[in-house]
Amino acid sequence: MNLNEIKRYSRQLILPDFGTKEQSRLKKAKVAVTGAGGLGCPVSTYLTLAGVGEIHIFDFDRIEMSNLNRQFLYTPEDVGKPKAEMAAKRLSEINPEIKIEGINEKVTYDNAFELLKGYDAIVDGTDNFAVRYAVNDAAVVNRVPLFHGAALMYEGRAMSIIPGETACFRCVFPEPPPAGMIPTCREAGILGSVVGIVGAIQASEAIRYLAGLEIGLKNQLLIINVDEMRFEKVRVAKRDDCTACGEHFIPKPVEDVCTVLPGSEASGVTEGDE
Amino acid sequence: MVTVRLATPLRKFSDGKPEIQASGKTIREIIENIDKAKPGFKERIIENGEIKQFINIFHNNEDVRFKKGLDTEVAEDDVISILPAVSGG
Repeated sequence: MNLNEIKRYSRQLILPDFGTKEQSRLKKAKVAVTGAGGLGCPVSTYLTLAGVGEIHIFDFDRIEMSNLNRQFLYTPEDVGKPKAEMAAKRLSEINPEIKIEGINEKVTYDNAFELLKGYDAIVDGTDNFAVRYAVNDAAVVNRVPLFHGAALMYEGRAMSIIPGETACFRCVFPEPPPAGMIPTCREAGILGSVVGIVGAIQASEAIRYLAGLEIGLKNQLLIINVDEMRFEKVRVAKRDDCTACGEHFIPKPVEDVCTVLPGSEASGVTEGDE
Repeated sequence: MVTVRLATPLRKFSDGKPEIQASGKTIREIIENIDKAKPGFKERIIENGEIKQFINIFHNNEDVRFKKGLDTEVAEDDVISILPAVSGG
């Protein structure tokens, strides 16, 4: 570790259970962040600040004005520019000691298994079921720990998935809801600070895991309700018949059920308003 | 009475409130009783007599799929959470 790094990370290096060994584990880690939106901004920011050595940010969207109530890596001048690239640029300025790459590619069920290979962790900040299930299945098959987060209106969810050890997203929710049943952030709204909380939780779990420390959301789904400021954990369990992490993997692509409302300002390149 | 906590996408059945009180000896009875006051509730959660695949019900923070499902017995002051998958981010 160089002098700059010692200074930069000094406040975490003095933490109990955290020292140069843990910091060097973070430095060696290579992490994929799927989505550079409401969750992706806080997730990738905290991974960057903590000194995760290599971060790949996947997003195919372009920045929209309606992103700016929560996606704090972007400014009004960035509207229309690719998110992944802009996020990587800002984060590289924030921490030049690490390697950050923005990958302007749409993650699908067809490419997820290849794209999400060779990582030490994946943090999921996507905004739709099709990509979420693709990321889950790819993480489980490739044996990469996955730090899940989702949010809607004033509610957030988080859970940590360690393949072979814990329940995966599909163990908890084997199938996505039918189209139109569960609104998206675009339809129902989202408060920026809610995705901020969830993203910070996902990042905390990922950072502690990568540093070799214990984590608290294995087989636990955290449910956050900011309207009453209630945090609760419910116990989840691995299902033997899970098509992703059960005995036999069965590919199960999920159709993109997102409804793009007429007249919305979405670019339409993906489901948009993530 | 049992406290039934509803995730955001289900709160149109509770007039926007995070939780409601309901009576019943099993999860199924509780859902049926809520449905009487708020028609359409049961249909959102149950399909062919089973909990829908994108919904989870927790009884005192334990997934009822690993208990007796809809037939899981509940006692006074227990807490049930009904949670559909959400994907926003």
